[in-house]
Amino acid sequence: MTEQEAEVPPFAADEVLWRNVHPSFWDRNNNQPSSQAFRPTPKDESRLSVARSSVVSAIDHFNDFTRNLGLESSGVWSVTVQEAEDESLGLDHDEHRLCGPHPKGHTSLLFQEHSKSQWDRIARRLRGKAMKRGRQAPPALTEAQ
Amino acid sequence: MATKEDSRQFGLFRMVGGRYELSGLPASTASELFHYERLIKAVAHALYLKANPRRKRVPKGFDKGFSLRITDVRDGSVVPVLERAEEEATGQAGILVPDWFDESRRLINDALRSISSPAGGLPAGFPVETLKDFAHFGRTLRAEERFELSAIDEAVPGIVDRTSRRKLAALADMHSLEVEQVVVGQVTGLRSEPQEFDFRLPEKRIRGKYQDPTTWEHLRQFQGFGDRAPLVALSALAVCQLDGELVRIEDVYSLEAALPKQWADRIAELAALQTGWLEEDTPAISTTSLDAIETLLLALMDEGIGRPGIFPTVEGEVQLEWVTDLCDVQVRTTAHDTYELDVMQLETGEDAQSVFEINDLDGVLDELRGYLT
Repeated sequence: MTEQEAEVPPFAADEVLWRNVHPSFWDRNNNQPSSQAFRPTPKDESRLSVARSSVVSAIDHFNDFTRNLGLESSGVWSVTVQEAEDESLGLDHDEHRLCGPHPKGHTSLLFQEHSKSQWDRIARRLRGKAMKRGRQAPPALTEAQ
Repeated sequence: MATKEDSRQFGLFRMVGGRYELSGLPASTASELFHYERLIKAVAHALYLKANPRRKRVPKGFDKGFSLRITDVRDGSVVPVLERAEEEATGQAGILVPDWFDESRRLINDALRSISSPAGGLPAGFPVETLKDFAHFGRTLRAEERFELSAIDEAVPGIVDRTSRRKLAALADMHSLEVEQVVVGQVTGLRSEPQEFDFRLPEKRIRGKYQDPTTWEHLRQFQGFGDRAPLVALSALAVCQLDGELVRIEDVYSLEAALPKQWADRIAELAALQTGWLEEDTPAISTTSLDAIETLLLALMDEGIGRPGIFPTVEGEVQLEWVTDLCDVQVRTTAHDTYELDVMQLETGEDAQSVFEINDLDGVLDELRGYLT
């Protein structure tokens, strides 16, 4: 075990995982994220990027993602560790093993144990839970960011 | 025949259904009463000439002063009370002019009753040369609307509706019929000289004309963003075949976006996405998909189904998403010109998929109604 890996805190069931949603996957007038934002894209290699709330706050993750990394986001939604585990998704806090720029607290939800048709169902259930909590960041007044 | 002592009221005219069930008088009523008055005069002229075969035209002043006035609008659908103007109690040169007009009104009512009967013909003595005038009357009527024409001594009213108008047009050996209606499609070409435009309907393209030069600017606004035109609803004078198929547009009265602004804006956002909008090789959204989804959204709106989330897909298609307390519903277009509908029950996790041809809107709506209404 490397020194960096030793720093990874354990996952608590109620820990929240932040998920940035691409602007095209957020229908602003319906205040609705697409389920597609909660499943890996073809280039994600079965891994969905999230960030751990035990490492970074929602707003800091949003700013890290958009300002530091220059990536597009309409905001941060959330799912919990328990919700991910209920879907039999593995969790990999891979922040310290990634090459190149990446957000603080980066973690992957692992979809590889499931078929592509299952991805869609999992994503829809996660989206439903995330919608109930609502957008976590940024606050509505700074939406223009 | 009617005499001077008869009531000044000119028959009974009742407007029923659709807009006529709301309070007030629709603005289109004015043009309908204009056409009704013109028809009364045309039939009266014909009746007079038939009764006076040596005359080539009606006497000077025959219909001078004959005009219908709306003197009241009564409750019960819309019942405009039509009366004749005061000065026409007798006509010029001792001719009992009003009698011909009253006879005209009775014959028109008879004709409407007769064409709705199983035999379907015109009553004896009806002047067939007035049928084209007759066919103009009622052109603003929508499918669910009708006029009922009768009199105190006529128990069964004559009905003017789309069905009776088609029968009249067929009797007049007309191949098409002018109808004022809302036409939804896309403006794909526009010219100022001549004042014409190209209009794309879901199933075909037609040619349109506009009479007011200022309409050009309004049409131009709907010619589209980029290479794609949004759906627009034209309030127009359309020419239809007797089976109802739209042939061309003769004039445009007004136009507006077919979808509510927020829906149309979202479609515009998706249409503006370029290749690489998500990842380097993510394709732009296909025009076919956008057209199909826009048509479906319009149908959803008419059905009263709530606005879905509208999203691009990484395959360059469009996906609609609804989340209710009971289920998660998605409809997406595919590259095979189909709609794929996918419903997931939130409680049980059960799911169901269906595939519909892109022109089978009724099929999609029937399925969606079960989950979303």
